[in-house]
Amino acid sequence: MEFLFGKTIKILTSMMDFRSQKHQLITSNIANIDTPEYTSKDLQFKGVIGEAMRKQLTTTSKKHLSGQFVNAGIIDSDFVDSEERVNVEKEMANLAENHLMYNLSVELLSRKFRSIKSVLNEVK
Amino acid sequence: MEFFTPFKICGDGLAAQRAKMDVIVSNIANVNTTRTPEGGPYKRKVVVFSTDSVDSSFDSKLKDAVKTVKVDGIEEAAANESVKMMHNPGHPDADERGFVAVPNINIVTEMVDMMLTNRAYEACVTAFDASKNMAVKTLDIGK
Repeated sequence: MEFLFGKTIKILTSMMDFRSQKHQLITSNIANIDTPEYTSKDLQFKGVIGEAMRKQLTTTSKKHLSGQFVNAGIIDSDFVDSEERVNVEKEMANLAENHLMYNLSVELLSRKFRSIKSVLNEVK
Repeated sequence: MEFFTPFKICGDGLAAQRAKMDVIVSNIANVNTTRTPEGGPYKRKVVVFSTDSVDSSFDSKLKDAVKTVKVDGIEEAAANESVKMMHNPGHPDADERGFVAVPNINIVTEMVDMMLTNRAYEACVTAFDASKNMAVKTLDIGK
C-alpha cells in the first residue's frame, strides 16, 4: 500500500495522536486549576523526530540519486511533570497552539486524501 | 473512546467551578444570617477540590497523568474564624452585653473568589470548544 499512500499518512496520524494526547493533558490541567497540590503536566517530543528516522536509500549505480526519506514511525514523546502550580495563561496558550497544530495535521491529511482521490478520478 | 476524554474532563471542570460558584453565592447571601438550623450564625463554607482518575479502557502512558477534577467536600471555615462579634444591642440575637455573633464573611474576598471562579469556568468552556472543534475537524477528513 505504501506506493499509493506513502508515509505521509502514517506520520500525520501519529502527529494527530500526539496532539490529541497533549490536548487531554492540557484539558486535565485546566480542569484542575483549583485543586490543591496538583502540578501541571506536559507532553514533549523526545528529541528531534527527523534525525532519528532519516534513512539513506541504497544505490546500485553511481548514476542513481541517493535519495533520503523519512521513515514513518510513531512519534516518541516524553511525559513531563513540571512540578509547578497550573498557570492558566500558559495552559490557554498551549491549548490554542496545540489546537492549531492538530488542525494543521488534519488539513494536511485531508489534502493528501484529496490528491489520491483526484489521481484515482483521472484514470476513470 | 479516547477522543471523548477531553469532553468528560472539561465537563467535570465546569461542574466543579459551578459548585464553587454556588458556595460563594451562598456565602454572600448569608452575610448577615444569625440563625441556622444547627444553631448559631451561618459559617463560611469553602469548596475543596481533588483530582479524580479518568477510567479509560486504553492502556496508554497517559493513564495516570490525565486527571479529571471532583468536588472533594464543602467544608466550614475554622471555628475561631467563622464568627465575629458585632455590637448591636437592639438585635434580637444580642447577648446580655449587646454583642451579636454574625458570620465572618468578607464580601471583597467573596467577590474576588467569584471572579476567579468565573475565569476558571471560561477557561474550561474554551477548552471544551477546542475539543469539539478538533472532533469536528477529524470527522471532516474524508470530505
